[in-house]
Amino acid sequence: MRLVIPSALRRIALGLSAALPLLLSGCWSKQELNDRSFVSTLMIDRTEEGLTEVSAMFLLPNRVTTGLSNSTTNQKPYALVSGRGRDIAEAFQRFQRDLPRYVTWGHMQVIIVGDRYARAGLAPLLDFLVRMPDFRLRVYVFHFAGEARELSKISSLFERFPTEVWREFAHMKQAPPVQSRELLYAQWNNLGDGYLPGLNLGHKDIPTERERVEWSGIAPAALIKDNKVTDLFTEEETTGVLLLNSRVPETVFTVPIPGPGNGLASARLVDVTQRTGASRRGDRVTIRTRIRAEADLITIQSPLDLTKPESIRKIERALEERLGELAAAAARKARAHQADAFQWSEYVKYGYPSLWKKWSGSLRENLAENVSPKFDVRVHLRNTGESRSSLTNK
Amino acid sequence: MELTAWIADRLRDRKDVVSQKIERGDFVCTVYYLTDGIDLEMLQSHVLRPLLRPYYGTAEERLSDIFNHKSFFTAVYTLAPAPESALAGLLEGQALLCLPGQTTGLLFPFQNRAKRSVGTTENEKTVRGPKESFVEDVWTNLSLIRQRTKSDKLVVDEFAIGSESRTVVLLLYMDGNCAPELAESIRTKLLAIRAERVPGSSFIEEALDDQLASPFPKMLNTERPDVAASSLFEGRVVLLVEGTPNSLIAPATLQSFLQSAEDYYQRYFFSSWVRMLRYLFFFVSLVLPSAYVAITTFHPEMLPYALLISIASSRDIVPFPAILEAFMMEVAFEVLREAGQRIPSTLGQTISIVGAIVIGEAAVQAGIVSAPMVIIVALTGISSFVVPHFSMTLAIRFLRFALLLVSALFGLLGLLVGIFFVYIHLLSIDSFGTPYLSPVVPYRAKAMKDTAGRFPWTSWMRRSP
Repeated sequence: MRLVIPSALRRIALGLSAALPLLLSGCWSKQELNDRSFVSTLMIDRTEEGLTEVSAMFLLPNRVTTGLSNSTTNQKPYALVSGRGRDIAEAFQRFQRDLPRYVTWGHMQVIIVGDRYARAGLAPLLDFLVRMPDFRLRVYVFHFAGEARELSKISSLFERFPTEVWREFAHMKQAPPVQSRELLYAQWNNLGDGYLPGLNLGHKDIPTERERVEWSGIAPAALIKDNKVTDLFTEEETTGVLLLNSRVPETVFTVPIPGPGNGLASARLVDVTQRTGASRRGDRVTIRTRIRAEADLITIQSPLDLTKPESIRKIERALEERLGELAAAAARKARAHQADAFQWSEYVKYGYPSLWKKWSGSLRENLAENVSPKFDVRVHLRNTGESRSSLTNK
Repeated sequence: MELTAWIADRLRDRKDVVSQKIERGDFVCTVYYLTDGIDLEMLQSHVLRPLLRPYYGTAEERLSDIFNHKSFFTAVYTLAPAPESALAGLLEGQALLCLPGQTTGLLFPFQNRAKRSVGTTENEKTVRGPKESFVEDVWTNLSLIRQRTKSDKLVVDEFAIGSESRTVVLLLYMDGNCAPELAESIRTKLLAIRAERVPGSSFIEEALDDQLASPFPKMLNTERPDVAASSLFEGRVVLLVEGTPNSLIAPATLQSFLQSAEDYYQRYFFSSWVRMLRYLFFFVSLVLPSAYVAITTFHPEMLPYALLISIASSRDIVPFPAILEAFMMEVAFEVLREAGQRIPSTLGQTISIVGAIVIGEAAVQAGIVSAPMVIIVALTGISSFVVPHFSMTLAIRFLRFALLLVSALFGLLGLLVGIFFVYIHLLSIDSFGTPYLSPVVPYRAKAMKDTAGRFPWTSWMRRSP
């Protein structure tokens, strides 16, 4: 016998079953903003005893002044809380226990890794980042040559929060930006190599401020080999790293113009882009990186006649050579360490699988030996601002 | 039974009924009318004077003269053969003349109705375009429509609904433009209304509605004769109800509630832009507070960091959970709105300003409510008035609370499911056979020119054959 369900009942049943997914969520996952505390920066260090120290910089909403009610308090609107443990989770648990609010990671924007921790290996951090669903994958990661938590001392003069300062460094491409997902990708897909932009901390005397200012700026980037920081790039090489991997919206270069008495020229490079490709000849692979940029001349101390195309070309050549040098220097450093900092191994892995298989026994050696980079830089000086130079004879 | 006696019997001791005997020799007639309800001058010159003129004949000759000699009275009149119809005419305000020994009465339409003159629109104002608005008198309203529809295709059906109130309802449609089934079904439904009285057009609207469980209105009501007239051309049916200065238009779809008369009177660029804004803010007024509550309590990760800082810092001293805060503010807003509507108009302005200042400014200052919530509620409140038809605004207001509740319990998932339920409901209802979401669902490409925006007239308006 077929069971006949009255239509009203059927409707109710349908409505209820449609409402079932609602049970997936519910009051139990609800948390008021007042019960949460938001982490903006995570700092990871390793103590001398080998413990992991996790410090989180929290936003303190009660100290933030918004809008026009601008009472200038000297209290900082953020606080750094630290905990130690054998691993990150334990260290985190130590300080969560003492906090009156739930820690929310969703707004974390910056991770700073201390030098000792970075040299011991980033693998536990990457594991934590990939396992917990609470993080965004676009968290900027920095390296600090020292104890990372020391950085929290900075007086963020221009921004309300120190996190903003660091985030802007990456955002404005003043340092070669690295996001957590890029590290995760390198770790899970490639050899676990890469680089980390560096931060520094120092005193700065700023006449308008009453006290001495703790200032944080850009430091040379760190080279990662197999999840461990092994060496630091120099300042020039860091610029090379930036040129190799990021789309730089605006940067200024000053170069000497070749030829006797030709002096210096400074140009603003606008929208530096690059494209990388690979080609194989026998067992050798060449990685070709094309770097393209538009330039505006900003200053020139030279008697060069700017109305002539060959003068323009001269400046362009000088800039191109300089950019090529920087990029090559960065690549050289990585090769010297047998590190795949720019993920060039992918071109071999996907482009020439047979070669990859052949190399698999001693990958790093082969990659360093048989993969050579080539740089093709083109700069187009589109605007000289003024055709007459200050040193041109009138 | 003689009519005079029957009427005298029915209306004994009625102080508002005047009975006046007119004697000319042994020929005695009686005129009945309602005090102050009649144009006495007309009665004098067209009824009393002919009756009092010297007559040289017998009473029978005189009677036949009155009945057969059509121009005996110099005014139009109708014959009421049955005493009931004579009484109905009298109560409608006509003057009733009873002749000696007769059961048939003569009804003279000399009503002196109390009625308002045609005024300007109050609730559906436009900057450009006509300013006339309907009044309570159906016949005036009919003439307002006629002035805009001088077509012989305009059909006017009259109904008297309400066994005691005898309210006149006019059913108007354009023969040829309007689907015959639509007019027929409304006619049938009107005839089926069994009621003692009709309080207003909203009563008719409810009586004609098959899906009373829905918050959405099924008929458009407008006080603008131009809207009613253009609806007729679009093939819709217009109902004019005595005593209500709002006409009813059927069928009405969701999209028709989001169109304003102004759209048709301004340049189409502007009209299209405004119409799209209206669609957007219609949705905003439905979901904004719910989305805010869901995001801040369940998914704060969705907020950009800088925005989170502002929200978190202003929410920090608020002692209530976000849902309670939202609910309090929404209710306060509703109360303010309701009070603003009921307060005598001279006071209304002051009260609403005081209310806004107290609730907005003071509550934020005192830390009872957060500033973002005030912004959210105010924006929601204002955007609900973007919908040009008040009956739809009411529906949205009601649904807003339901959505607020589910999003407070289940977060964005709850809000989404809630919106889906509203959507499914909208798909399931229809207005007099027209799907409520048409012309979007089911899609009619032709009608989109007046839905997606307002395209230039020439591209979509029906042309004369």
